[in-house]
Amino acid sequence: MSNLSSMGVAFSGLQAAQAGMLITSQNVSGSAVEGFSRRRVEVVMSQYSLDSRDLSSTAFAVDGFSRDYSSLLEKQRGRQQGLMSELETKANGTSTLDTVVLDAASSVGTALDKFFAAAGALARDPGSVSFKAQLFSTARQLAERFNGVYDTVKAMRESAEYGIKESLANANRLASQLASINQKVAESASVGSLVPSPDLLDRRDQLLIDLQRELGGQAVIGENGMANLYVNGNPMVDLNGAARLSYQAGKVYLALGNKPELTGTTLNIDGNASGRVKGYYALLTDFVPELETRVGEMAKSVADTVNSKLGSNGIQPAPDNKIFTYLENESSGLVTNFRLREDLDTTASTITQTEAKAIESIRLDADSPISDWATFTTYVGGQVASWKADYAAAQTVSERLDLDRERMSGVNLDEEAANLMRFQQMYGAASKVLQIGSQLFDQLLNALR
Amino acid sequence: MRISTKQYYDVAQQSMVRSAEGAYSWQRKLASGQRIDRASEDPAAAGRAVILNARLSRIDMFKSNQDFARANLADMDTALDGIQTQLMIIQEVSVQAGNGSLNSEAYLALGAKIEQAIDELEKNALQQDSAGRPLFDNGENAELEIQPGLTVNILLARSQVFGGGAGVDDSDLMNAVNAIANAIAADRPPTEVEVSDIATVRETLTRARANVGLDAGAVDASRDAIEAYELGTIQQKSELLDTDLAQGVSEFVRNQTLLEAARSLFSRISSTGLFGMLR
Repeated sequence: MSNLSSMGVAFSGLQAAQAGMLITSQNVSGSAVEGFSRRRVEVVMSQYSLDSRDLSSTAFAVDGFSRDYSSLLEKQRGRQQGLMSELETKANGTSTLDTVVLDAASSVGTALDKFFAAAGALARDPGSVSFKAQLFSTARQLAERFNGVYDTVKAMRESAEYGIKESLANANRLASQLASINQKVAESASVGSLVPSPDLLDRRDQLLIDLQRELGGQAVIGENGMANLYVNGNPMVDLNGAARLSYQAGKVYLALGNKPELTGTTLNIDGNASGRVKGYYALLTDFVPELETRVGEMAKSVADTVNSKLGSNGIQPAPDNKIFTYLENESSGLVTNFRLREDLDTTASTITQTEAKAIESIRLDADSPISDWATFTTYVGGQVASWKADYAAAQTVSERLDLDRERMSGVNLDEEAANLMRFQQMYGAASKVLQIGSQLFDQLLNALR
Repeated sequence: MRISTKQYYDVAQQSMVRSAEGAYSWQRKLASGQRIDRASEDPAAAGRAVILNARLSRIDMFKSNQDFARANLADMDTALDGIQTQLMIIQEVSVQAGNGSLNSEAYLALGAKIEQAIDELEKNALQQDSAGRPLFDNGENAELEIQPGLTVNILLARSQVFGGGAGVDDSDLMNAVNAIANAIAADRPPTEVEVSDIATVRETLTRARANVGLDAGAVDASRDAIEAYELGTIQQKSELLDTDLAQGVSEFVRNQTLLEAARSLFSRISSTGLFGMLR
């Protein structure tokens, strides 16, 4: 046994304490950083004594730094974040329409009520100029309300188109960053390190979750620590290659530098795709077209039904005996531009009592425009409510997963404070051993003088 | 179980945000009185509200129709009353003319009286409603719906009131009245037939007036029915769309209390920690 070996062990204790304090300072600083995982210093016995009569060969060393982490939890979180983003995008994207359909100031239902009430008043007093003017005025208002809904739906489409492009640009940026991190992870492994640094891995995981918030998909972590992301089998990040996605005319196109055969293919935004991209995509390809069709059909129904009640040549200029017009797309059948006939002469036009009565009685029909509007309101409300409910459920699961991650990877400042004291004690004790060892050495040297 | 410091803050923050959201939501509902302001908050109620609003709009139309019908029926009753009064005068004149001792001057005086009565009678027969339509005309488009499935006549056909042809001049009433006037102008007493014709048109008038009275009664009864219907519809709409104040106040207070508790806990958590005790 030698005095020198005990000093060597004490020195390794000093190093371990210093490493512990370094880790504690990182944990304290990283405690509020999104995606940071709690770090740990790994102190191991670097040398072993072979014989119980001799402990002088024992040595300690800082083996490295690791993080507390669960890949299963991270996978679940990534998937959940994608789902939440998708549902949140849908609910937020339809928020205006959700209000417009109910608000009396913008509801088609209110305008229909006023129009039919005006027809009822004219039926009571068919000679009244003011009631006739009121009927035409409420008819114009009704057309404006329909156009208000058209405009809201159009704004939804424009906003979703802008959103999907922005989201894809963001996904492209994140994919590129993740590919770059993958490259660094691969390099760190190639220089002999068994495990890439926790910093790289934390950054990798955070980028993966951010990317899944945009696209969803399935994350696969390779044995070398590189992260790949696949959406319906199509690679978004493949080792150090990143896909570039673009949106054009209802389709998402894919380009991947290290897999040129995939360039130009369309990405199926279904299956395990989720995130904001799928939210916007669903609005653009399902919900908005459905709304456009329904609003168009309602407007057409109002126009055709009301016009059909005007049997005589009272509407001027004759003989085009109608008050409402609209445009119908020949191929899609989509109805737009519902309005009061532009050349309608409201002064010269007359509406008989029979016609006014017939118009008023439209609201009693089983498939009246009012009933159609009620169905439309319920449809919009029901769809948005369903997304909101799904979002709330997804949020609960997500919060649970976040808490689980915090339990595993989060920093407890009390724990860090206790560790700090522990390392302080450890550092002090190791210093003391060195000091005593030095004193013993000095005593020995003095004995030789 | 390991708890991270961030969890303390996250839980406190989430409960503060949720309680604040809840308090704000109930505050908005209490302030506006509306239980929902987005269709997604209750899609079925939102759709149902459209139907109920349409029903209330139609009820408003019926109430306006009732007001209009009541005014027209009152005008008709007044006009018919006036006509009946003039007919009584004419009947009295015809009785006086039957006295065989009258001379030409007396017939002349009776003739003037009867002309005045005819003028008044014609004025009443040509009365118009507030929309400028003759109360007694051809009777077309006279029906007005005052509640679902119930109509009243707000205009009457002349033939129904005065008998005979469609015009005032060729009506039984005017024929009978003119026959009396002509007899008096010829200085002779009206015949029995001529006198009985007046009685006949009076009966026709009485029947028409009775019908007007029946319709007026129907309007009054209908008013009660439609108001009860309106009340029921408003109640249904209120149950669907209005805030339950008792529930609103208790929910608002509950969320506010939770918010205060969350704030207090957050403050307490922020002030504790082992790092703070290190010297």
